[in-house]
Amino acid sequence: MATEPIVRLQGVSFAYPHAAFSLRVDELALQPGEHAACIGPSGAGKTTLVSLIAGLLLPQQGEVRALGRAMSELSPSARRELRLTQIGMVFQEFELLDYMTALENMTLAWNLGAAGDIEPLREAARETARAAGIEHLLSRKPRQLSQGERQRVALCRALATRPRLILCDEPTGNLDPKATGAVLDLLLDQAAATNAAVLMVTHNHAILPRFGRVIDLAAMTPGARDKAGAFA
Amino acid sequence: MMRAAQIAMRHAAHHKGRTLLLVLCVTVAAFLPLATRVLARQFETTLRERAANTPLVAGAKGSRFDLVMAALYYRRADITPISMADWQSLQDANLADVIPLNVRFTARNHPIVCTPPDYFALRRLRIATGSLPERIGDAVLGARAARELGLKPGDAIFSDQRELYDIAKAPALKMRITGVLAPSHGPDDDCVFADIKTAWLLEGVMHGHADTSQLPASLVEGKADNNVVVSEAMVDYNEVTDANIATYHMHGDATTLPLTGAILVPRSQKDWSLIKARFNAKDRVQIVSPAEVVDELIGQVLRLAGLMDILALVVGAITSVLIGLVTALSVRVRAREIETLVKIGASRRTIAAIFGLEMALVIALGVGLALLGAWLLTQAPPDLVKLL
Repeated sequence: MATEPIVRLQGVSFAYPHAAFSLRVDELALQPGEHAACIGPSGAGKTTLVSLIAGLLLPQQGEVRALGRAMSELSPSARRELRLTQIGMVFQEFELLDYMTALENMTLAWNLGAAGDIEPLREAARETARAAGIEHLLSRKPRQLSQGERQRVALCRALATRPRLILCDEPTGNLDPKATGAVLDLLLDQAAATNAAVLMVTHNHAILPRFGRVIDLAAMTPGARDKAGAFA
Repeated sequence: MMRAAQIAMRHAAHHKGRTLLLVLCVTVAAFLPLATRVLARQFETTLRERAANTPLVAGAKGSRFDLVMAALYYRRADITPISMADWQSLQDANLADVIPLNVRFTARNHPIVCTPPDYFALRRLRIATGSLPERIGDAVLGARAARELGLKPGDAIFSDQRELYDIAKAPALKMRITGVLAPSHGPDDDCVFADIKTAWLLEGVMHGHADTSQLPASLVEGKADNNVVVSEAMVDYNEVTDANIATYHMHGDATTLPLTGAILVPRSQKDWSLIKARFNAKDRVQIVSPAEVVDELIGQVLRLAGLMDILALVVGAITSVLIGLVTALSVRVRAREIETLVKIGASRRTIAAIFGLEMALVIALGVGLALLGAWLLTQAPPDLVKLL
């Protein structure tokens, strides 16, 4: 029996009001545990694609299904709940709250309304931080951390809820190659350990070999299929 | 709500300077009307208390406010004095105990209250150290005056010279301090008390000097019968001592000696009405009830307190606008953070709660501090309240 993809876009069309830009994706699927990189020139719609999958934007046409649910059919609060508990998001600028400690940043989902007690989440955050080698930095605030450490904290925040889908928008854009390698190791190892699917938007072609699949958004002209398959 | 509150508190604690400034603004806006009310209430209580303990005050016709303020608080007002003759006629009416007061002079800027010992009994003033004035020229200091001037029994204090360049006027009087009063937490604490006869020394109608029969010829301008006319170059004694007290004597008519006023303690309610009616009908003297005058005065003060309330409302409105502006600016400055929170899964309600709770925290702290300040004001010693 075929597994249902964790992400599926069919005949999706999206355009911002009063802007020439538009994104069209005829067909795109991401399987559980699959690690994919999304590339394309600036303005190709990579961030828009991530926002559509996360339910932050809704397509004007077509259907976006994530974690087995059609985003357009979900209420705003149901989409938020999905992001809080089952989708981890990592951003290029880390987007940590500078007035909270690393640990508090990692358990932010609880503060924002994720169901359940904070203690299990805190324990998961500590465990992830241990794996990331930043357990000793948990009480520090972002200003007291290096760039690489900050990104690892941001990654731990996305991983602490044990999400089934991790969406990353150029998370290594501000990191040197060594830090990039460390962040990728952590992300992909943790995702593999929990069988989470990963979709990472990146401009860095040097890291593409780390992914099982590369989605070239520029090649996804209307009617074209995504270029699935191993990067060679 | 508690989860959002944690974020709000972390943000407020992280930006301490901004938070403290806002708390301070709210505190000032809330404290101003509270403090005005508390001070007005305490002012009213103090005024009423002293007025209630002073049944009637007699003085020259004129402003009743000035008379009451001069007789109760020794405020130096240019009120017309009454004379010892007026005092005598009040006494002769036999309707009240009449305590004369002369508060026309100062010593190192503290009012000199010249009055007989009856005054100390009326005000329940008791000696802390030393004794009451033993003779003319002696002084007893109020507790605060003694503390401020650093004086004690055995020391001396000079009266302030009102006319520095008129050598015909009485010189500054060096008064021997015989005692210091226990604190009464009222205007008496600021005063220098002396016997009523000391007022005649200060007024220059009583003086002491060397025996004229033994003066050098250069100081004697003429002799006729038993009178000796001396030169103005002859200097009067400026201090009463055991050796010279016998030389003190009065010139002129004793009935014309000036008094600021007198405190009247009627023997009955009927006497209270009678003495007021009898003397107020005359031309020279008015008798007023300090309690009634204070009632009028408090009416004015409460109107002023009302104005302060309006001012506080304006400050409150400005503070509200300031908080609104800071919140709006904060939303703009934190736009990216809000975006991140939304991406992670925060609802608009959660974000509104984070901002709202932070402002609520600031307002609660500000109002709490204002209430604490107002409570402390109610517990403050009377001296501090008087200072404020």
